[in-house]
Amino acid sequence: MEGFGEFLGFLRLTWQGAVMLGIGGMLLWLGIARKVEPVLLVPIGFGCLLANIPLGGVAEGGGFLAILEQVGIHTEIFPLLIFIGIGAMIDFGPFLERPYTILLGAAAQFGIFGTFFLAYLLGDGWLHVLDFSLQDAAAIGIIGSADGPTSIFVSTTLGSKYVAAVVVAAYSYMAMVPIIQPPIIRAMCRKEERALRMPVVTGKVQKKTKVLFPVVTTLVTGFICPKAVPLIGALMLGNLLRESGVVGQLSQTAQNELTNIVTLLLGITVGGMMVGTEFLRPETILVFVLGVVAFSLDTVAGLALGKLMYVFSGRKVNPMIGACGISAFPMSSRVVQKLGLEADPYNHLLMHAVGANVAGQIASVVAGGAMLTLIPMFAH
Amino acid sequence: MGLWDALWIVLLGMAIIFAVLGVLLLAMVLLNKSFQLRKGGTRKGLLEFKKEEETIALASALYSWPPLAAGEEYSLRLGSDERTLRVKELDAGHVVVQVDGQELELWFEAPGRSIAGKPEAEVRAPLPGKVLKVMVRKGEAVAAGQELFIIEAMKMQNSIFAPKGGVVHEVKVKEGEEVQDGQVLLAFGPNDAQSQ
Repeated sequence: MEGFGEFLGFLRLTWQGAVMLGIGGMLLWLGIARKVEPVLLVPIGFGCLLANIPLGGVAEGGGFLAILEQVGIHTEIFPLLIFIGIGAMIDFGPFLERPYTILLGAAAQFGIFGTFFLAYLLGDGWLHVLDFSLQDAAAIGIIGSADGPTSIFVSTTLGSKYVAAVVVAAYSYMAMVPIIQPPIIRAMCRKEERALRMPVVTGKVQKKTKVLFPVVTTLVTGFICPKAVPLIGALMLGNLLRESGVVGQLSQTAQNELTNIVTLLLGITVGGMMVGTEFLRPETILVFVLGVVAFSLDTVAGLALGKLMYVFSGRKVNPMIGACGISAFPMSSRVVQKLGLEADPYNHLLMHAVGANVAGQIASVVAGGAMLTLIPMFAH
Repeated sequence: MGLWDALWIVLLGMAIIFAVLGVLLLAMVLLNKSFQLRKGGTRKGLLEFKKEEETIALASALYSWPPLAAGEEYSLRLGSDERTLRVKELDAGHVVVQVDGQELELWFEAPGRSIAGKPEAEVRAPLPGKVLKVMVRKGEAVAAGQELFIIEAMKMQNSIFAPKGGVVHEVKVKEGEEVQDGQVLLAFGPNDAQSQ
């Protein structure tokens, strides 16, 4: 009767395990009942349930979620494959028609570095109240990239203890952009600024420019910031599949089958990384708090540059589009479109916002590369 | 590794981002400029003439040239360019021509006189997307601020309102159609009942 204990898994349930089962259930409820990012939250929630069933062993040793973590996350294969799909999905046209928006994307990455500084201040840098090493602080900051794959790539490459929390925070706050951004935008932009109309821009981008864009971006980024090559390379390969116009079937596969398969695997794997005894520590809560700080600082910095552009362009640029420098696409664009229409029902800012938003996608990848370059440089 | 180092990371990080993206911005602007120069600065959706002045010159030449007749084809030379031009409609103050499959509608108006039937204004799509609903018909009088279309873009339903009051001359899109930003959705003119 030695193996009888194997049937009484519930007797081995720790309080951490119970809490995590609750969290997994809550993620499932959010995804299914409230339709919050269901494609991500349903697999993550279920993975979390699986990983916290006592004696199930899926997330330890040779368990299947542990194996997926080894081959997909530690090797950084999953985030890179997803980036090929994302690159194939994004039309960078709205950005290329308004190239100046890339500066808004650059500014809106400040949340990454500002939050890194704060986290390091609370951890090993000064106060020592939390167990945040330099690498952990950088991983927490990267939540501000507002981009799941970049967050996974950077936090695992740096070897942070909080990969699971960082990734869950990055994905869930992307869904919360419509709640986080509007109060900040309203506070920083007056009503007449929000109502500023911008003319329709069309047809200024040549087809050749769109085809060469992914190649040029990869080379420029690679030459100046080589650590960003895997991410920007995967993203731009996807975009080249889309824009070259000669590999339609590859572009379609990247956008649909590849992205769906990898998202499913990534979801259950991240869920599997949420094991109670490691996940439930005071630091995890702080990771989530600092995640909101990162998104907010991104928004503030993007808006600040947006306001500068508003002044220096002679009131031609609506400052709100600065908030879209954050790469949460298309949530952030929708927020600005809504706020623009609220101030003036004829004021459709959507495509201008999308320009800044997709530019932010590139900027956040470069920011990830910058973090990966600087942290090892300063670590000794 | 102290706080000063962390501050350096923040500064250097932002510097790297602005450096990379600044170079990229420059590269893309220059690249696009060079293609535009080689193609002669053409614009999608407009006749491919080199400058706006050339379009205007063509328009005035067309209207002042007596042998022009509806239904006829002409050879059109602009600098070294040669194209076939077809006159589709011709009446007082109004010409519709077709060049290389693209249609161009021209209205000629002397100051102070307006032409009957000339559309005063157009409503253009402010964003690309799918026309979900067309809420007006040809000949219908609309008031300023009246809802004309609903266009779906990025899973958002966007209402397009009339910029001013008038009569709808033509609805140029159908429900379910995909539109580009800047595409003409509707032409409308002053309310005839009011102007008479």
